[in-house]
Amino acid sequence: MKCDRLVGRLRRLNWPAQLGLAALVVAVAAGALWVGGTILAPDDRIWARIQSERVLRVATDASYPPFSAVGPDGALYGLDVDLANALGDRLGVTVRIENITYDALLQALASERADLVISAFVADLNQLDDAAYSDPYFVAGLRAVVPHDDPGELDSLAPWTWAQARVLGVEYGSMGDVLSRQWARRVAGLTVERYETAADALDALLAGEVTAVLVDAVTAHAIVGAQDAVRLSGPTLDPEPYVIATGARSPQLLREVNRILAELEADGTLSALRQKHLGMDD
Amino acid sequence: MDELNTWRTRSRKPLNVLARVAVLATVLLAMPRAVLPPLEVGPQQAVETQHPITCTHTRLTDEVEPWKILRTLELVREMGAPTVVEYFPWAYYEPEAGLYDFAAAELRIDLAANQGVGVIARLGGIVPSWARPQNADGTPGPDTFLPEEHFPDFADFVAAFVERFDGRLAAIILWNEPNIALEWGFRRPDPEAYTRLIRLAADRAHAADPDLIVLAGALAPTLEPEGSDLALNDLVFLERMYAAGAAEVLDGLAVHAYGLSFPPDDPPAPDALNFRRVELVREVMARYGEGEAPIYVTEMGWNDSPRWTRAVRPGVRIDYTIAALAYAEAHWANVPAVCIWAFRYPAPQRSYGDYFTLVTPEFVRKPIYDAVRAWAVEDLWP
Repeated sequence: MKCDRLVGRLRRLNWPAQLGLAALVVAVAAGALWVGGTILAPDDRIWARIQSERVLRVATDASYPPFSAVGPDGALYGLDVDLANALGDRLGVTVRIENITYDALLQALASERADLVISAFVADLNQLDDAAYSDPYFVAGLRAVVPHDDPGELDSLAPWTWAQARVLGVEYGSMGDVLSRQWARRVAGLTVERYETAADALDALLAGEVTAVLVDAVTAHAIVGAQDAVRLSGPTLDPEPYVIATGARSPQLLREVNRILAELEADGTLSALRQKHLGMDD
Repeated sequence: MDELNTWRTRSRKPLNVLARVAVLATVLLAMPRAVLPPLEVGPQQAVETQHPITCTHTRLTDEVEPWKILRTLELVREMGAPTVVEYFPWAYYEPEAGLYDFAAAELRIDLAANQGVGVIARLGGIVPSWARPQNADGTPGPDTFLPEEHFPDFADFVAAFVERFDGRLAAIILWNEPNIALEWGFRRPDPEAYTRLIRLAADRAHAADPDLIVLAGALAPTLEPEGSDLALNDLVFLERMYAAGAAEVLDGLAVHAYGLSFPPDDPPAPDALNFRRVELVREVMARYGEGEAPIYVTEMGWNDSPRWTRAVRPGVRIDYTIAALAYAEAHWANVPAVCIWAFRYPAPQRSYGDYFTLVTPEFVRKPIYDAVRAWAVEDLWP
């Protein structure tokens, strides 16, 4: 009966009061969840082991230069390798890097064979039961490259406007080709030239055969870093941020990884690594 | 790199979070109940094709909105593919033992029929929780783990499915890739046990529809040796299946034929994983008197991810895919369908798997889609 009376009183409230009350109830519940989640967070066994053994185990698929690859001497090299070592330095632990095929990287986390995956890895949202993901350290995707004196700037909200009246070079069949076909349906005067590889498209830009190219970000940064005559235009399209993966039940380790990534970004270490391996100027 | 900042997690101040939750709750409370417009299905369509071998594996299983299912099948028809393979996980259709709910399958098969597209139904995969073994903590075990005492339950499901869609299926496939532990409950693959499963299921399927083509689950191409806990070489697994009597109940085989980084005419060899490995499968079949039985290539293709080491360049992928379809058509007898994996995913996977598809989740046709369509419908080569 008391419950009926309470419901009756609630019904007599005007709608702003009802909404305010609902918001208050939700806010209190969310606060309780947040506090509870903090207090009841599971122990991070992986972090505890790293602390006790002073070893950080990193899995990488060393088949993707300039991020991770095997050199002629058999040693691993690349941005991901340097990043793993930088993380180890900041944590004050020894880093052991294992070369694992790409398909098995997350399994290495799930089976606790590795503590981290650093491997030009794009967050796999289908695997959230097994993995958690850091802030990104590089954004892959598509970049537009133009001659240095090109007056326009690609706008990601209306890229077809930028593309109007251009001769755009793309790799045949690539996502750049997909986008350029979409733009060509929206604007007049866009000519698309298709090349066998992204490098061929960039060569065509340097030769003046096209007025812009749309290629993958890694290739774009490499050419812009090496050639003063061209520059990037606008933001990354169809972005794919590269992240570090931890096990899903390693919240402390993930926090530490994010903290150190922020440090490395702030003090210029990450910027230097991107410059060293990708020829990239931030 | 300023762009990275847009992707970074912001500091999670409690008040900030609470304010957002409160605003969201308010909006949700004030929002009227969403009503989807009824799906408008047009008149009966027919597939126009010059190469009816063209087929693709759709992924409508996890597609929620009916208009997206219809749009997918319209694009399949326009591409000139008269057949699709679609997956019907057991657990989705029999949530409780003996309680079947085929509404979702009905929608998919009806819309395919409206577009003039035949459906090869892949049955199995996810085992209902009631048929799985329990973990030590009482939770259901791996979702691909089917204990032998529940084999008859799977056969019951197959029979119920076939009865429901009697005469409306191009073929059925029993299970998927049973030669890898991932698809066999994380146990060591067991060809004899799998054969006992399909003997039960195929008999029930044929009893329900004697004209139905019943195919064994396609095996994953792999070179894993006997004794491996991960997988078993597909040719060895197949040999043991036939030795255990699989041929007595099957009408043909489903086969997976990925090209990886090799061209489609790369010659077959027992230690090579390539598109023409299908020819080695045919040799095994012939040894057991099944040399004339149909082979349906229910998954094939190349990947053009810039990140995956077994991928090829996008333009090469297009060339290889068309060449493979043409090769199968010209050289392989009794191969009614070669199905490209995969037509489209409902959502991006954010992994190299996205680079197997022909159409993006947003229904943007990739250049490979246009190339397959040009070949199948107009007989034009890229």
